[in-house]
Formats: sequence, structure tokens, C-alpha cells
Amino acid sequence: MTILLEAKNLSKHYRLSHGETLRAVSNVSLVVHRGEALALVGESGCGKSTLGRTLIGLGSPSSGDVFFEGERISGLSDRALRRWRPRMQMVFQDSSSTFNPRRTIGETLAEPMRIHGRTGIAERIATLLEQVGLSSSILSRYPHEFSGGQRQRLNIARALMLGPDLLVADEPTSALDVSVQAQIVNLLRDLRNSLGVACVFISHDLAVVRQMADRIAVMYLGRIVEEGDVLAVLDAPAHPYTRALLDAVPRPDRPLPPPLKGDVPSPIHPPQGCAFHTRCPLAQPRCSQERPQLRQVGEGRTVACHYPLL
Amino acid sequence: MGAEALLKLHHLHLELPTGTALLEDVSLTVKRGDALGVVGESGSGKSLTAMSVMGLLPGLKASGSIRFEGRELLGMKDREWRRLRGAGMAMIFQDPMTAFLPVRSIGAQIDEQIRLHEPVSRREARARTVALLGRMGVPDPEAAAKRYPHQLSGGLRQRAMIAMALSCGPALLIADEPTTALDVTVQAQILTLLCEIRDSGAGVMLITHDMGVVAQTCTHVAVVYSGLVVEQGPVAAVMALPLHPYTQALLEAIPPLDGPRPDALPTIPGRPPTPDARPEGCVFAPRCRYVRPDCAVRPALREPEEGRRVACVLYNA
Amino acid sequence: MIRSLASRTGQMLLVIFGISVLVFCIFFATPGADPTARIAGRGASPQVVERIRAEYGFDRPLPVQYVKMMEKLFVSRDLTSFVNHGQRVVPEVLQAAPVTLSLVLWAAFFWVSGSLVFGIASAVLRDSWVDRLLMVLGLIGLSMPVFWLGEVVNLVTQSRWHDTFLFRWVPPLGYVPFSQSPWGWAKALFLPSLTLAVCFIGLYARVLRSELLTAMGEDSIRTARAKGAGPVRVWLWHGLRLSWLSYISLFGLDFAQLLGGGALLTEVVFAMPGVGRLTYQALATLDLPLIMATVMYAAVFVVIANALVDGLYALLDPRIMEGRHGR
Repeated sequence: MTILLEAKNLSKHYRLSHGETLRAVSNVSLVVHRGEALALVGESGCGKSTLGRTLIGLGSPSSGDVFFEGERISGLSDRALRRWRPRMQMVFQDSSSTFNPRRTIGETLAEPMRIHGRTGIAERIATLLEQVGLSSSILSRYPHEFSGGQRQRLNIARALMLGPDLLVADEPTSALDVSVQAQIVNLLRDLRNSLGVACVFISHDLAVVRQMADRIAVMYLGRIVEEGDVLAVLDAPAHPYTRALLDAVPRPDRPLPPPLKGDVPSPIHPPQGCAFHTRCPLAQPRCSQERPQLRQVGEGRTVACHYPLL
Repeated sequence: MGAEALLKLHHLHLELPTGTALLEDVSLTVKRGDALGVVGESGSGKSLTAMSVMGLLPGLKASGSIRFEGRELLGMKDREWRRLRGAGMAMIFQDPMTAFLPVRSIGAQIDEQIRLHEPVSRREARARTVALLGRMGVPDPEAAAKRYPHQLSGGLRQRAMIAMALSCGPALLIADEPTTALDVTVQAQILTLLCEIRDSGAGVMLITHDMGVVAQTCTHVAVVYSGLVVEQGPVAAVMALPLHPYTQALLEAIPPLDGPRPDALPTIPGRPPTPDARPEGCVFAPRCRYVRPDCAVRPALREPEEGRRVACVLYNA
Repeated sequence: MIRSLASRTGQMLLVIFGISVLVFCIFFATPGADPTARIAGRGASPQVVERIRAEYGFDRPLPVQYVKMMEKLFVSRDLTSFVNHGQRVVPEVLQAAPVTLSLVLWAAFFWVSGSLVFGIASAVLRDSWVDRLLMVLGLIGLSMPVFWLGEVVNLVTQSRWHDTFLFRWVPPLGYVPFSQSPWGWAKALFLPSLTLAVCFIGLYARVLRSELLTAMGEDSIRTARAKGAGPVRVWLWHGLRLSWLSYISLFGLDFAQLLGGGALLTEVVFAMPGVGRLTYQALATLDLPLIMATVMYAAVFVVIANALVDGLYALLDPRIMEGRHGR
């Protein structure tokens, strides 16, 4: 498999008004192969959304680099990035706010192709609508006339208009009802198979991620704590945090487990040593002193923990 | 069994002024020490059910009966209802950030509720607030009471919300999607807290869209679809063997967390009807895989097994 | 806290400096017009013109002229009007300020209490005939020009019906200082300030109504109801608490601009010797030093009031203090 996107030691820090720094993403390295689906998973404030945006050049990193097909795209000016934009597209969670309520669906869908001076817009729209399971008769309608699930389909169609190689989807199903969520999950899976587009899914829902992704990267306080094949990681997590996340998912088929203590610490003042040690049920003295580095545990799996579960 | 029903909705009917029925024939029971999960998708009327118990739906026409501790609530004067709200029954909401007044401290808002219902001094109210916050697992409750909602984390805000709801010792706690805005690990904490409240003897009515949440925290479940209860029963039985095709489909649509990964998740075709276009017959018939001619007549809620009810022609025999 | 206060003060000074430069440039650095002649007024003798040129440094570069002007305005405070025979300008403005302050304070009292009553009433009774009537009245108030209304009030109370028992108490036009007679002060200000307040009552009632109705849809109001709070408490305590932020910021701006001379028309119509009327006179006689002084006075007031409103805002909404980065 060839590497499509690669991030090396990527960090994104925000300077706050009181001279403090919010470390949203710290020293993250990852690769996305062509046609692959990588899931970024974690709780709110773990930096997954910031990382997703930084990967495709929405906001430049504080340090580190992003390479797309081997070429550096981080730190480029907006003008220089324009050439890359059609190759990387984003799907947001809230499908109602990504559409301009006063423009018809047809206008909105045509816009990216117009901006980039493409031709054959009508045919392209027809093909894509069919692919996302909507009829072409909807083009003259307005966003508010659609249900959440349909809008999310349109949103996906819009992102695919320019035939991107990479799709970054930020919580694409979390605003949807379960039955509709299942439809969108199936759709994204089908599209990936038929178009060969690589995906970065940003999600907090492990069940959805397991269904959609090939690989998973679990984030905690701006760092990747575990990465690997999604089935392998979720069947036998190596990091206690992944374990806790997995246990906390409410399932019809098992009782409520004892929950993790406390809240996620603030990314402005992350704990010393392993960031998870304040909540970790298995923490040892060493964990509060020394930050564990990512290391290999088994085939294609890495974990940042002194005492991994594997 | 045997325990006196704390809350009993009997054929509750809720209508818009235009005559469109939002809830039809909703009958539910919550007993002390029980937790009833009301599950449904958005627009199913599950929140409306909760709000009508609280009497917070001005402008809607309700008929049928809502009995709370043996008293009929429908037709009660607002003044009397107000005395119940917050004292006899209390409610917590989905997003504790917006549910609290952003411009006053958490403590002041809890004090307010105590003083609305009981003639205590400011000082006494605050002492109770602090004690409550501590009991809800808020670290350093005295300082937390002085903080504003935006200064607390989502989990602590929801704990404070629950503390406020419990401040006057209500017999019934209604929780409307209490964990939807929270992270999973925090959600598990809040659900544990709800279980403890239930075990302490209060009745809990949990409104949610998440079958998993119901399974882990409730004793009974009612599945709502398009303003109607289509199935109800003890949680363990319903989860193990859902009777209504809609309940079955809802459970199947949840992606598995272990075992083989299916190529495609089972989905429900179409979407729920809007209240003004509700089918004459079975409301789920247009999307049901078992649909047959006699679905054209709305099936009544029957009791095929002890304690379980389902509204589906499949169980008519 | 101290840091934000200092930066706030710095900002204020910067704004005032900017305004002073702008005003100075408009009046004194307009190409093709000699400021000396304009300060001296029409038909001034060449000696006077020469004296002014030297005194204000009009024969020297612009920055020097600016500094001289500011010095005269703020440090030595001996800026003199030539149109008005050597009247010192700064004391004149300072003398007029209490008049304007009294007028505007009274007006603010009327318009805040009036708009609170109207706004709350029409929000509570929304879509009823009371609401519609109040909003129409508000619109009428809003669209009546204050000078016209003032003239009508004068016509009615000073001449036509002055001798009826209704308006016998109305004092002649003009101002009575508080120190002289508090009762006379109140009487003299009653009608002018009410006239001034009329258009604000309409505007503020509308703003409050719509803010209140928006606030009533908030989740926190639902919580208040669920707590068992009664309607009075829900509207007046929770609802107002949520909706008066924009009301207050609007109030701060209007109050400041009225103090700064925005009550010009009212003062002229009711012959109140306030800052507005002073500005009016200065403009009528093209008294450049006086214009400069009143405009700067207005600017300082608007800026200070703005800062006060921001401070009040932070007190009322704790989220603002923390730079809004809390989740």
C-alpha cells in the first residue's frame, strides 16, 4: 500500500489570553495509506478534531509537517494550498449548518466544481446523487426540506464532487438517530469500496468506528496512546484508556461496568508523566514521572503505556 | 410487583391546537425503586411524554390521565402543579450547559430551588446545597457551589444538575437524555449515579435514544414510535427477545463491538411519519419487514406474556 | 484583573487620541481654508489675526499646531472664543455639563422605567391586543422627531393651556440648578426629559420584548419552570437576567452620546443651557474653538461610558471575564 498522507511530529498549540498555552495536539505522527480508513478516537478535548483539520491544511501546525503524496503541504500559503484542496475534503458533523439555507442543493453541490473551474458539473452531480442514494429531482430544493440523514448524504456528495483522494469526516453520524446512523455508516463503507477514497473518521463512538475503519488511533489529551488494526485493538486493547473507553460504551448485552474516575484533565495543564495516570486504574508510581513513548506491541500495533495490557 | 404505582399515565393523548395528535394513547407506569426507560428516535414524542408529566407544555391539549402518587395531574391548577414541580418530581436535561442559567453560580441556582419549596434561610439552603453536591461526587463542593456553569466540566455540570433535581427529595426523577452531551467515560459515571438514585427508592423515568443506556440503567423499558408506545416490558426480557419489529430493528442497527464485522448493518427503510401524516393502521407498517394486510387496522397494546406488552398483529393470536 | 484594567485604559486613551487627531484635522488641516481667519471670525482686525496665528502656531507645522491645540484644551484650558469676545471655552463647557447631565439622567430614568414596563408587559401578553397596542405606541414614539414633539409640548404647556390647572405648575423654559432649588430643578426638567425619553421608550421596549421572548425559549428557562418557579419569578428574575445584556449595552451607548451633546435638539427647544445647545450655538456662529471643545468633550464621554458598560457587562455575565475560552 502506498502512503497518501503522512504527519510527522505534528503539534498544534493555541496561545490563550493569559499567557497560557492550550496543547491541542502534541507530537503526533501517523500515516494514511491510499484507500484506507483511519479512525481518530477519543473524548472531547482530546484534539482529534484539531488533528483532522490540521491534516488537511485547515489551520497550520505549530510544529511538525504534513506530507501529501510525499510533498510537504503544511506551512503552505492558502494560495499554494489551493492546488491540493480538491484532493482532500471534509465532512462535518452538523449537516444543517454546512449548507447555506438560502441556496438550493443544486447550487451548493455545483459550487466546488465552479470554484475550481471544472466542467461537466451536471453529469457529475447526477452520478454522485445516485451514489449517495438520492434522486436528481431534489436539486431545486432547499436544505431545510431534508431530514438529517438526507442532508448528511448530500454533505457527503458535496465532499466527493471534486473526486478527492482523502475524506476527513468529523463525527459524520453522531447527530443522527440509530437507524439513520446505520444507513450512513453503510453508505460511507460502500463509497470507500467503490471509489477507493481514503478516509479519516473522527469519532467518539467505538461501535461505529469498528464498523467503518481499518485502523484506529486512540487519542488522549492531544497524543496518540494506541494505534493499530481496528479489530485487533478493540478485541484486545493494549492501553488501559482504550479498555476504559470500550467498557464505558453502553451496550444492550452487558451490565454497566464500574466507571473511570474523574474528568479528562485540562489540555492547558496536562498531568506530568503519562497524561492518563490521574484516571488510570492500573497506574504505578513510574507513570506519574515518566511519559511512555509509543512502542511496538505485535503486528502493526503501537501503544504508549509502561504497563500495557498485552 | 405489589408496590404502589408512583406515576401512572393512562391513555395520555396530546394534541396541538390544530388538532394534530402528538401522543396517542400513551400508558406507562413507574413504581418506586423502578427505572423506566422511554426509548425512541428524535420526533417520537419521548420528550413530550416527560414534559407533559411535568406540566411544562402550555398550549398543548392533553387528555387521558396522569396520576402521580394517586393524584390526578391533568386539570390541576398551575399553582398546585408548581408546588409539585421540583419537590415531588424533578427533571434533569440533556445539556447541563444550557439548562443552567449561565449568569448565576451553580450554588445560587440550587439554593433557589430549595428556597422555592421550603422555608429555610439562605445559609441553611447553601449548607444543603453543598452537602448535596458532595453526595453527587462533586469534588470540593463548597468551592464548586460558587462557580458558574461554564467553569465546570460537562460531567460536573450534570452532577450539579442532578443535585439540584434531588434537592427537595423528589419521589420521581425524570431524566431527558441526561448523558447525550457527555463523553462515554463521564456518561458511565452519570449512569452509575442514576442507578444509585434508583436504588435509594426514587422512581426514575429515563428518556433516551440509546438502547444500551436503557439496558444498563433501567428496570423497565417502553419503546415509543411516532407518538405511540409500541412495546413495553422488563428490560432484560425486551433486550433478550424484542417482540415488536421496530424494537428488533433498533437493536439490530447498533454496530457490534465484538464478533465478526458485518458487511452492512441492518437498516430500517424510509423514515418515521410526521404526526400529521401518521398511518391509519399500524404506525410502523410502512417500514416493517413483516407487514401484512391486517396491519391496516391499528393493533392494540396486548399482553402476550406476563408483564410484557406489544402492539403488533404478529402477537394477536 | 489589573492588567485588563490597564489595557482597557490604554485602549480608551488611544481612542480619544484618535478622535482628537481626526477632529483636529477636519477643522484645522482642511486644505484651502485658513483656520486663523475662521477662529478670528468675520471682520476681525489684522492685528487680531496675527495674534491668533502666533498663539496657535498656525505658521508652524501641523503636529506642533495639534500639540498646541491639545495643550490649550486640556492643560492650560485657556482656549478662547473670538467670536464670543474672549469667552474662555473650557469653563463654558464645564458649566453646561451639569445641565446636560441632569436632563439625561432624568430622561434615562423615564425611558428605563417606561421601557421595562412596556417591554415586559408586551412580552408577557405577546400577540394579544395589549402587545400590539404597546408596540404601535412604541413605533409612534420612535418616529416622532424630538424637536417637533418638544415644540408641541411647549405649545400646549407654555401657551395654549398654561393657565389651566393641568399645566399651571410648568415653569418657564430654561434651567434651574439643583443647588438653587431642588424642586424647581425637578419641575424644570420634567417635561424636557420626558420628551427626550419618548423615542427611547419605544425603541427600548421593542428591544426588551424581543430579547425577553428569545430568552423564554432558552433551556434554562425550562429548567426554572421545572424547578417550580412561578411565572413572576421566571419572567422577572430568570428572563430579565438573560435578556438585559444587549439592553444594557444599547443603554450605555445612547446614554453616552446624549451626555456628549446628543440631546442637542431637546436642549435647544427647551432652552436648556447644556452642552448640546452650546454645540448648536458654536455651529451657528462657526465658533471653531468651541466646536473643538464640545466635540472632544463628547468623545471623552462616549469612550468612558463605553468602558463602564463593558465593565458592567463583565459583572453581569461572568463568561466574559474569562475571555470566553471555557467550554
